[in-house]
Amino acid sequence: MVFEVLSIMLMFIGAFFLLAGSVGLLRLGDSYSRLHALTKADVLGFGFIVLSCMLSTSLFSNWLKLFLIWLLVISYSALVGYALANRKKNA
Amino acid sequence: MLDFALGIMLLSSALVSLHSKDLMKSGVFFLIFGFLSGLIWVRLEAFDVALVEIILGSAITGFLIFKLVKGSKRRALRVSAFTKAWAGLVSLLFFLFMLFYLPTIERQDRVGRLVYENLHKSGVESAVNAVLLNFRGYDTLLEVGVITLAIFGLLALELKREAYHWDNPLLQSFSKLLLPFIVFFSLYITYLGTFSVGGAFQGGALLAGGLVFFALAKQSLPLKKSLILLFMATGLGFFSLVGLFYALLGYGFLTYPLKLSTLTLIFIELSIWISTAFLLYTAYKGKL
Amino acid sequence: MMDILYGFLLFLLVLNLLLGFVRVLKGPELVDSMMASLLLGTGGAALLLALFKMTKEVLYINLALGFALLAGVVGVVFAIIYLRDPKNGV
Repeated sequence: MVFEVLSIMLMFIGAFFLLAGSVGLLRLGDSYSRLHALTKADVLGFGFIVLSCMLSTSLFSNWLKLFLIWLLVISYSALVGYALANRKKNA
Repeated sequence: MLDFALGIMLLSSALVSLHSKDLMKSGVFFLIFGFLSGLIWVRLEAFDVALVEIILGSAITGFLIFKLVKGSKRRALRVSAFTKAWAGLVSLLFFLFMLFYLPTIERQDRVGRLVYENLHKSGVESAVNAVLLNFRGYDTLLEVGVITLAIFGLLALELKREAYHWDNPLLQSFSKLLLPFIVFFSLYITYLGTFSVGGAFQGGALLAGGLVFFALAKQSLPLKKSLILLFMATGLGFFSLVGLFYALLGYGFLTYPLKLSTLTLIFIELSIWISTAFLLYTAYKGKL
Repeated sequence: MMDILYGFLLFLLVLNLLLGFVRVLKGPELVDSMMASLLLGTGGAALLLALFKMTKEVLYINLALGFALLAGVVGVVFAIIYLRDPKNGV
């Protein structure tokens, strides 16, 4: 029960950070600051959501998969942020 | 609420994709359209289609569309007003038909029931793959044949194309690190096809995406050209050889004996997996 | 109680998708649209995970994993192909 409440709370925190990221994407002025908002939201918001899913399962394989999903999403977000910003600057 | 919002987004991305003057913008919106339709397939519980839509849309289709747009001379399609009006009328009629007629049809589940009744004879526990590989094996065999022929035709054209890659160290090391995971999980998805959502085409598309990402960073696979050719032909060749083998044993073409069917289907899935992956990879490279 | 909470959660996630989509539509340059579509991708994966939490079906995790393995490839491809020649950049 404690875990259930905790995991729902974590999920809401994650959704809040994702939402903050998209508000940032909508409101900020130029491309580079928008890229900044986007990648922050990925790491933090998605991380909380993955953590809450980890709390709600007890299978080891699911933990492994969820951890891998989180790792992949944050590393892709860093990579894509770098690639877009770099190419845009040097274009 | 969720489905409504997804539908609105899907329709508006389709509209923008059709109406924009810039072909590249159309391409971007088409990719977003693909991803959203993947989410909608998830909501409709068509998970196999959703998986293949999401995987293909995030690597191969994107690359092919961007490359096509970049290479083409025309900046946008010119459509006359008459064509627009005609197409609008037809799609409006079709929309009205779907809105008013489709909900009145009684849902008949004859075929679905037939599949589930015979599922234990097929050798796999997933209904989709049972249909794909066993009950309607002819269709799948011919589909594999069509892609194989298409890609070999592409090779025969010997197009001179501009290669797009970026020899960036970050990209190189990341794609090198990622490739083992992708190989492992594409095998896992292929194996999942025997009892759950997944299958050879999905796994092959995933592996092809990984290979394309690897090659984008200006790296080449340490494989001989003849080996790649062999992989490309494996799906069609192995599938039809198995069919002929059982036909010679007296079971009929593409009909498997009950005891061996699981094993046979797993090997067929593996062959289709490797050939899908390398066919799509060759479609990306344009040459061997 | 649980239903209301999960409904609110799904509402937040869909709102996230919609906000990202507004930026996709608005984006003054194509780069902005592409970036926002990456946010849509993350939001979609979050949606899949929330659905997993609601239904406890492992296949949602497999779908999210299949997505996550190739999540950013389109962005990189876009960066390589579109942002190459000078006339398309800033």
